[in-house]
Amino acid sequence: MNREGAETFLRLLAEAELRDPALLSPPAPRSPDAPVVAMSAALWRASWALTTVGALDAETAEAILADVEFALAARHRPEPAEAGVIGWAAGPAGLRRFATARLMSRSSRRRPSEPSPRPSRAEAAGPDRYVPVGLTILFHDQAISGELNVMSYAHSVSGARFTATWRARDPVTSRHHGLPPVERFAVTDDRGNRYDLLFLVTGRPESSCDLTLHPDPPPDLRWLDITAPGEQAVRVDLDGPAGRPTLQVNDRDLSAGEHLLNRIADRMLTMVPEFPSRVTPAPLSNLGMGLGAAIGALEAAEVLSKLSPVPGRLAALCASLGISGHGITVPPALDLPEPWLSMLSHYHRRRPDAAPAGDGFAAVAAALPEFDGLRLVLLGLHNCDGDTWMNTLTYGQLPREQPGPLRLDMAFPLSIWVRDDAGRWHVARPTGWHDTGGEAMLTLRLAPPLTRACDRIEVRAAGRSAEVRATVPLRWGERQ
Amino acid sequence: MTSGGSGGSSLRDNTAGTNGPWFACLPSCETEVPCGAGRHTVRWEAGSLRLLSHPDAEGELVLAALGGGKARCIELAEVWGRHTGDLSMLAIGPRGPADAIAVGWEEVLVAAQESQGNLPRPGPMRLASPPGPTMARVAARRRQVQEDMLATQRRRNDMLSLLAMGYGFQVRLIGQVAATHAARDGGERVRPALVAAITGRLALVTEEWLGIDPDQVVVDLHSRRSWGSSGLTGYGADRRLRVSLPADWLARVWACGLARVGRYLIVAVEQPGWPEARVLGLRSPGTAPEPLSVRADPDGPADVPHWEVYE
Repeated sequence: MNREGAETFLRLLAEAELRDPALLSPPAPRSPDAPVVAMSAALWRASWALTTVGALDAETAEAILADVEFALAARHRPEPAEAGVIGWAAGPAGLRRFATARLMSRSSRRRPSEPSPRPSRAEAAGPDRYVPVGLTILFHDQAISGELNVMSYAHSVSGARFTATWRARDPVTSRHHGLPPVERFAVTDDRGNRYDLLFLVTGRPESSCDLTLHPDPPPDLRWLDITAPGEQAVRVDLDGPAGRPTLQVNDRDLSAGEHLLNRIADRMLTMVPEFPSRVTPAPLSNLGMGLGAAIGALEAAEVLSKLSPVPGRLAALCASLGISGHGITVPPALDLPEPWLSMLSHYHRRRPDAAPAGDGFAAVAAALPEFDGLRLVLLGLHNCDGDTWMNTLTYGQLPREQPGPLRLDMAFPLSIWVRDDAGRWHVARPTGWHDTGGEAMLTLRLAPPLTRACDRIEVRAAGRSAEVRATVPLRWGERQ
Repeated sequence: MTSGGSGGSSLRDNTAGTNGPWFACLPSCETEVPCGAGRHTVRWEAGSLRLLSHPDAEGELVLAALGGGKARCIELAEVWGRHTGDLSMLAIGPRGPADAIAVGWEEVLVAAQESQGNLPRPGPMRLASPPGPTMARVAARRRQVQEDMLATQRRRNDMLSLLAMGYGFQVRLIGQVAATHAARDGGERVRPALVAAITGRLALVTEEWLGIDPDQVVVDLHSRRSWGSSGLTGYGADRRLRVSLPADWLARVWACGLARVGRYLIVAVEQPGWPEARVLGLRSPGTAPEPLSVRADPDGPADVPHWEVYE
């Protein structure tokens, strides 16, 4: 990685920006609160790409952008003063051009530090057990009734938990509200031990949760009985077939730049099902802005080969989605990856009135091997309100979410795709995660959603060092 | 701050290289600064800032430390001193005489007033119980945020003041910053900023010199004792003017208004001086530089010296 080349590229891009007469000309009148000076998307995107791959530390990038912002502001003459006043308006209107300038002290700038080594799952001794469940537990009392759909049981070093979806409603008004009264559930194991359930939704969408067992059970439990208020006990068999996935691991050596560009493509494709195909929506166009500058920056940082086929594929993807103004200079490539083609095919065929996927949940528990310092465990899949969610547990240090400019957050370091049993590909987008120090509850949303007719999926998780393909049977449970 | 020559206090430069100080080809220049109830003259001369209306700046600083007010001229000298190594000046300052930066003293004053209005006020805080570790952390975090905000405001106000001094001072400060870093050889920490600063300025000069698109100019830093190198490669969109120059070109040549003299791109100063100097100039890319005698009009505008070849 060439960090000096990265910084030099960004600074030279800033120099070119300052020569751009379009940016130096007076802006059209806008709202009084709007920033007077705006730098180009190219500069933002290049800066973002360099910091995302670690070629430039965030403070240096921010300082460079702050200098550009200030330089642009200094070259915009303020509005002429009113008649009778000599000079330029110096009040709030005049000074407003510097209002957003945040010049940073050079002394605080740091070189990027090497990422700290991530603890691997192998280093963390403790239970490592994942069981698909697929049971529905009904509950009802005077105040609330509903159901818990238990997708999986997981026992790791941080404890034992069920991953479930849930629905609750007021029995009088039938309105959906309230949380399952898990504090009144009785949970006993095959040895007569009793447990409390703790209800957690952090890292999960509104429709799913994790139920942690307290105290921590022994690692070799055979079954658990769960008795909800007003219902018979439901036995959760933990000794049944684990439904192990068929795994295929392929080593690879993807550059940081190619990996980033692939994930940008993923991000574009996750948005595709949200919009009708005739018009390229603004959010998609925004995603494409400045990509050419980002590619140039990655090449300057020597994390992307000039011979890489990925920029050409990204250009083809932009062309197919009607995204212009991306600034990618290489010609569009013809050899698009199969998942991209599948998504594009869906996009161009899509009927706006296509029926949403029906609600449901599938029992899944599959641990993928560790790669790129992360290990992913699938703990259930469910459909809710037309979306499909994949609930996972992730080992390793996930970076903090880093919302980038123009709706690009690339903090999650893997590219995850799912192929259904009809051969159609679905791209997975992280919707957030809750890191508990080496373990994170991570939920991914699939686009387009899966239908409940799907009996098995192939999950493809790709990082820089490896690609893992896991074929997982789906056991759909019936909601009551 | 050290006292300088007659008639005022000064800040001195100490980056003289083997070929004399970088500013030997620059005349003095002056500006008027609002100070107290009037306007005072501040002069840059031989690498130093002179406060003509404040002959005892050190004494005034002592008085200010004892609670008296600080004159704006004194503040300005301090600001100048704080930024003689600030690479942001290269990124923000002018790229050439046509690159107009419009900041007036009115804006500086308004910014200073706004900053005072925005100062965080330590309000009275009632505690129901003695502050615990959490409270201490919150207080420390709040202090840090306040300090960062104040530093940001001060930096913005500093930069506005420096820009309000006008083109002549801006160029001389850029020269000072470049000379400081060229002398230090700060390695990869400063090379990107220096390369960009030279490229941004050289690109505009070569556009006039050759008619080449500024985006087609590629600069790298020359670290040996010779002047550097130049060459033109490619055709059409692939055409590139590649120039290798030492970091102090920005100070010794560009800041002194010598970047282009007549039909020549000046790449080095052999014998600095004002109003006459000996320089090395390129007539075209890829050729050897020619020694030239150049002369500036001593009665011309001091901000932007205009040089001509005279033999």
